[in-house]
Amino acid sequence: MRDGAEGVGRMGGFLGADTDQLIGAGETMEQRGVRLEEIGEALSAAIARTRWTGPDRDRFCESFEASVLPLIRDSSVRLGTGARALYRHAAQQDLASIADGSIDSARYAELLEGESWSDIINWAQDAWESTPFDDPLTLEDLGGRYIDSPEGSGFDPADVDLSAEAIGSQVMRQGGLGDCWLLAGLMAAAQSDPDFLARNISLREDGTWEVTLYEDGEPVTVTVSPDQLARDGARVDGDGDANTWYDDEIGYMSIFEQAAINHLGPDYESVIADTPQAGLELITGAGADGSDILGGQPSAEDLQSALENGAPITVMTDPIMPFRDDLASAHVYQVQSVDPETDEVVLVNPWGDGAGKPHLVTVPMDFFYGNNIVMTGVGAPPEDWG
Amino acid sequence: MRTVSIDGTDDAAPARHRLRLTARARIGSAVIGCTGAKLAEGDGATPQAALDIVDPELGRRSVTVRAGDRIEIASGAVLVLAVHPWDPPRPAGVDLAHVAWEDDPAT
Repeated sequence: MRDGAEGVGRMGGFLGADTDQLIGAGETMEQRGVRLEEIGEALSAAIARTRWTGPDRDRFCESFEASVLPLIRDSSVRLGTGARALYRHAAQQDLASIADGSIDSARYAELLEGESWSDIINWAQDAWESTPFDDPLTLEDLGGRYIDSPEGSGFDPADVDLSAEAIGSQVMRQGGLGDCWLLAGLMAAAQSDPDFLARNISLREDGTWEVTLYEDGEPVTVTVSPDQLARDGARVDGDGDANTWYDDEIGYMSIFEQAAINHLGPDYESVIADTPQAGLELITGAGADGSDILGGQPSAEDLQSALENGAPITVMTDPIMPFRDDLASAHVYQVQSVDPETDEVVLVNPWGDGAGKPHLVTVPMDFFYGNNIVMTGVGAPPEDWG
Repeated sequence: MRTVSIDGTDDAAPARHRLRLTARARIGSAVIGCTGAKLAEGDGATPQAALDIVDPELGRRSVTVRAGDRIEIASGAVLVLAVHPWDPPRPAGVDLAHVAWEDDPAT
């Protein structure tokens, strides 16, 4: 299913959501949040009642209050916030679906506990009227054509190294498109089986490239012309952390990115935002397992086992987590490795290593899903691709 | 504070950049990435964005911005025209304008 990262759901001709289901899910989240808070309070009280004195108790209590209780409270608040978000989405969905706008405002007023119905409508209307992206991104937004740029002058498609060795060793540098779901998928596939990607991209005699992508598991041949490449597209990060940007060369990722635009079309918006699972399936042609905060998140052992079998893995970070120095929000990363000794997962940022955000991020499994990762995609092993 | 001119010479004319959430772009002397866009908690639900800025002269930094903010980079000022928060299925990101320094556009 496409549109997953930025969409509520698209199934056949249906676009949107069942508001009763949304409200039901919200009520479940809200109840679990309250229950979690009660558990935290009960644990705190149980510890306080325990007949135990001395420095060990003091250290334990200090650690519990500093580390465990805040996490419980934070998770409880997040569940409550998530529930309210679902109620708002349900309200906005009803508003959009009912022609005369006559929806059950009393029901939502109760669910949203005093947050006025007019505020909900006004907030949505304000947001809908003022996005900077009402007009699709254009080639000009992406710096124009690469071949018209100073660095692209005299570009020869034959100079692009499309060997498996190059694909397996090059560092990804994302550009001006929010297509991390696709680029991280390419990175993961390149780690698993660079020969497969090399077989799926070739230069024709006429100077265009032929790229194979997959739609519902079936191969689709896509033609990419050098004059379609945008100046600010994906590149090979060949300069370490120097971040010279315009010196970064065209690579397999540049051509695959344009192939996805051409295939998914009609414009650049078609490749902006999607699920980790969708990227892996588009690239490998094999079904991928997707999971989200509602269930099915793989354990460290699951991730390690999948990597040992050569499966590509990508994950998406929480879109509304507090801004952080190491992880970007709503961003898809490649899972490079899992260290069973330290129980840590190493993620790779498709931005490359020239950004302020680190190229490699080590996340302890204890905190992997808590306010960090909300969605995963685990692809099939390479023998099932194509 | 150094000055910029919205109505300056051609060299100093503002250049608009619509930067999507999780994307990066070369803006003036810097490469700027949008690493977050959401409604601020407890702040009247004001949209705010996190930007990752790499500037060859000024180094690397992360800043949180709202519409109307102004960021200085080596080549000029970056004005935050609008922020659209993560709000599926609407696209999220920031609308920026780079204006070269009026007095010394080369720096």
